[in-house]
Amino acid sequence: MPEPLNNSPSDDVPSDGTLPGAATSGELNLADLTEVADRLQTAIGGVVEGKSEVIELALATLFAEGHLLIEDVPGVGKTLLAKAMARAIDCSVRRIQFTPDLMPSDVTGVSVFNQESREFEFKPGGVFANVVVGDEINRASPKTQSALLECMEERQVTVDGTTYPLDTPFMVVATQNPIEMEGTYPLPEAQRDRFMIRLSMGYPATSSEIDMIDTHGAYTGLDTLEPVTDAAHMRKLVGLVRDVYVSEAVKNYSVALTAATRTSSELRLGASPRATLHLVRAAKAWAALDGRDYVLPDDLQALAVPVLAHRLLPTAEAQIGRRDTAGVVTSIVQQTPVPEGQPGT
Amino acid sequence: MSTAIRLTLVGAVATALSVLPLLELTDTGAWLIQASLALALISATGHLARRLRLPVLLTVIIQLAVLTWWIGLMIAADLAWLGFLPSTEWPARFVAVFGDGAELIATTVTPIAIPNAVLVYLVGGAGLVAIVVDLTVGSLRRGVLAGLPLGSCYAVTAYVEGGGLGWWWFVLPAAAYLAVLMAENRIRVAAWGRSTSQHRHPRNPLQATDALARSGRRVGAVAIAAAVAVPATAPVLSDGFLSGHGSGGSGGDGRTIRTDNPILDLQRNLTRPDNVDVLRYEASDEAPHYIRTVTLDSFDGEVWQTSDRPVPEEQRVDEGLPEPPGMDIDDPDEIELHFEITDNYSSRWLPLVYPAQQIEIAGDWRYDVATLDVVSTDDDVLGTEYTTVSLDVPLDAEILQDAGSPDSDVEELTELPDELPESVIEHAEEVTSDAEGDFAKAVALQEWFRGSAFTYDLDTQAGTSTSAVVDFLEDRRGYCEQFAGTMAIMARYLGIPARVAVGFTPGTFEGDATWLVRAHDAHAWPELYFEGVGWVPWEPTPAARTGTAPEWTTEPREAPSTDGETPEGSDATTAPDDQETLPEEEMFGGGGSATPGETTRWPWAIVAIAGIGIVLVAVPSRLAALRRWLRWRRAGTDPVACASAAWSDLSEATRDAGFAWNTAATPRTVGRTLAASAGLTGTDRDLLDHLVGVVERARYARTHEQVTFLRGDTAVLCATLRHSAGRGRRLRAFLWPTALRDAVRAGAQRISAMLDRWESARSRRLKDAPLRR
Repeated sequence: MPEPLNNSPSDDVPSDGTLPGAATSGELNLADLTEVADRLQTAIGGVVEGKSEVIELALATLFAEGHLLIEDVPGVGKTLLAKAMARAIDCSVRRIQFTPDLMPSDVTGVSVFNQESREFEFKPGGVFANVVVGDEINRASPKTQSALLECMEERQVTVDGTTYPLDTPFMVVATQNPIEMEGTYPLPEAQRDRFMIRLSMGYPATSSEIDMIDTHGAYTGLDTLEPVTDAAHMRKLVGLVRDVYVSEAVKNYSVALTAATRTSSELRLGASPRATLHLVRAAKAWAALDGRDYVLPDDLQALAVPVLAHRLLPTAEAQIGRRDTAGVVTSIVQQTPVPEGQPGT
Repeated sequence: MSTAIRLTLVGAVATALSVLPLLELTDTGAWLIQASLALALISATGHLARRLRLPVLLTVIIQLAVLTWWIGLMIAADLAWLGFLPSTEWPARFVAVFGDGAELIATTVTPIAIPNAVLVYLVGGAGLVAIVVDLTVGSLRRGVLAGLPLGSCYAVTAYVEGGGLGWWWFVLPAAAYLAVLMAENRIRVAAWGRSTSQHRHPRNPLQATDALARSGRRVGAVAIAAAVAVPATAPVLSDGFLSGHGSGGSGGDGRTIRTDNPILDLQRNLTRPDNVDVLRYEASDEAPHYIRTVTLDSFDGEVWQTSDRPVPEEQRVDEGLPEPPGMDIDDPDEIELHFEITDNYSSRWLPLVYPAQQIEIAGDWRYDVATLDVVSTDDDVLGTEYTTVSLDVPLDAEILQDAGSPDSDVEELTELPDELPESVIEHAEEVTSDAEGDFAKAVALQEWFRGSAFTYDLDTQAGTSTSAVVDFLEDRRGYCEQFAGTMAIMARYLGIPARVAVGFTPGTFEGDATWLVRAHDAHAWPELYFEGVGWVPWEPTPAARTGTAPEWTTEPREAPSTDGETPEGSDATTAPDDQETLPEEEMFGGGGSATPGETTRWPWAIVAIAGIGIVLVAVPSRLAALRRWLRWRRAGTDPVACASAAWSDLSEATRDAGFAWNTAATPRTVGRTLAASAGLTGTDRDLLDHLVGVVERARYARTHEQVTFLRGDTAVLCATLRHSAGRGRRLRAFLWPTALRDAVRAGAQRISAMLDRWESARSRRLKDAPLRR
């Protein structure tokens, strides 16, 4: 059932300068972005400990206006990460716990006849928030899954012929449990393609786990997490990411990488053109997080596995050889020549 | 096309190509038609037999029968039943024709005109090759073995021609052999691993091997090119050096030149119906001279022939010729002669007056030290003009009488076969029984030959084999060849070194000191060796042909007088005994011996070779530097191009220093790994990071800033990298720099891509051809 996590919508945040990121006005630059990103990283890192790389990838997804799929065993902090991100930004967050009896209207919303006004009134579903946490998305029926996934792609909800746009920033953080597959509906490849980045949390390092005992013995730390920025400011920063420059060489390189997955003998299904778009968008965010206004092949290389691996299907031979798609993408990255800026001598 | 037909066809075509070198031996290619028909018949028979699944042995027997039948049709069609069925008279005809052919081939000089008797050998040989190739390729599918029969025709030709065979004759059989190997192995590969790919199922499984065949063809072409090019440049040991035969064996390029059979040429010239002009010469002493082309100094019991003579590069006539062997006479007069050879006379031997000392002629002509014969492997006297200076050796009966016993150098020139017929020995001893000393014996022999007992007769069978000599001594009829050959054999028996010279009599006087020599002037005469004088010509051929005998070959009666009628143009004088030969060498301008010239040439040669070597060694690194310079020059002030040039420089320097360069790595990664592997620290590390940053911005950023000192910084960084390598690595980078390797590889790729395009275009054309099924 959709349940509001944070009852203060973005427009309730006072714009009187109490929030550091929101204080600046006028022209923003990449320095502001990196500053906000650093704060976010610190804030989230205080809750989800020892997972800075995962947090960075999650932030990149956020700034790239993508959606995040977190696949991992229970109890490693998937939901915690999603909640921490939502709280750090001070925006509306809703959590939808996917169960087999969840209906599509629970996600999108439903028109209800108001007896008093004698009119149909739209009751927004769980998807109407800046950050939507779809927990255990593979437990819902395919019908409900696809209702969410359509919203993700179109960033709007249409009910009874009326279209309701979703708020920006809009980010779905879906979690999926790779074990306990009984009674689940694993996301089909076509649906997984809509997630910009898939990552797995992984178990924390021993020291992080010990720290966790000390700090989060009684509470999660989420309660003390203060918002770092707000949705309005985020919208402006996302605009900055859109302006990051992608050179012809990098465009060629991204296409070369995805094309290589289509011809690889180890893959049954290669990356879609949407994968190329996602890869470049994520790389823009990655570059911006690094304070650069142009994308390097390094950004693409760093993101190739998180962005591409979940969209691919290995061949039977590769599966027998215990090659996972991440390994295939890694070797493609290692083999694809980096294009030079200009036709060199 | 089925694989069986394909193999049979390839085998047949390969056989046809492999017999082509035989064309070099024959003066017409008409026999090729009969031979090709024989090949076609044999291949068709073989294919049919394989279709019927006959045993291999039976197939071969049937093919032999077909070949025999075909040859029978060629030579005995008139004896056949119904014009084509073998008759009982065929075997006799076969024996006769093959016998004739054997004799003709043994006695005729190549190129051979082709009567039936020779044709059967050519067609039969080609047919046998075809049968063996068909057996190995078609029936046994062991194409490797086909190399032997396919090479046989080339080997035969090369043997008969004595090594002077054009490279193109080698290319044809070699290519044919490779084609056989490729066809067979393609079929073998295609029979393996049928593609399970769903994309395409080629109707012809051989198409699956197209890519392999393409590489195979290229490897084959390179192999043939190497096989042709390498022997042409590789140094070869001289024959003479190995066999100890001949006196010029000083290593180097020892091409042994064997004459076409001069004796046969001689008779052919003498008996030819048209007495064509051979040459004109003009002598400074206005006297007639015997013109010598070749000296036969070896008698094996069958024939007088030239010994194997290595004529290395140093023996080119441009530098002059050495002194005639055995001659020990001060300041002989010189005769200048100008020769004009007509278009009727073709020879690799240069007509000269013995002993020639200087020759001015175009082309690569070389002399033999022992005989002073001048030969060429490549050039021909046909239609040439040249000027020579020969010595006017003064000859006199008294000097010859007084000559001492021959030097040990020439002892081998008294060698005879072990079994000399009794009649030769008897006659030699009988005729010279009253004579004392070499000279008297020689005079006695010559007088006997010139006496009334012998008749000059051109109808005698050619030859000076021992049996022919016996016949000659019995019949007492012969021509100059028998006279000269027999006298030389007898002289050798008597212990006088002797040999046979072949050439022309002086010819007819045309006025203005010019003499015309014609075909019928061909002549042979013996030369006997007398210590202190050298080789002296004698004239045993009867006066009917040669006029009076030379002055010095008769017993001295009165004071000697010079006479123009002397062969080799010489008259007598005293021969001083002193050994001082130096003034002579000086007089002939170093032509007397090769030694002084060599000693002065050597250091320069070494210096020149060393210089060229240094230049050659330095060329690659200079080319690499040029490539770098051009790169920066092209880049100009454009920041992007400059960064690109800097990156290329860094790439080359890195690989020159032996570090890996990963094209799939980003500049940043490259910088990181390079700094780690090369251990760059401090300024170098800063320079590298700076360069990486510049390259990143130039390639991927929106705006580019102008970077100063980039070229200098890059050069410093590259130098550091190069110096970090070991000495061996640095030497390798100097001799074969990465820049050049890249350029060569790029060029090779371009060529390969071009070939690919060309081949695929060609195969498309073939597929589009309407006749193709």
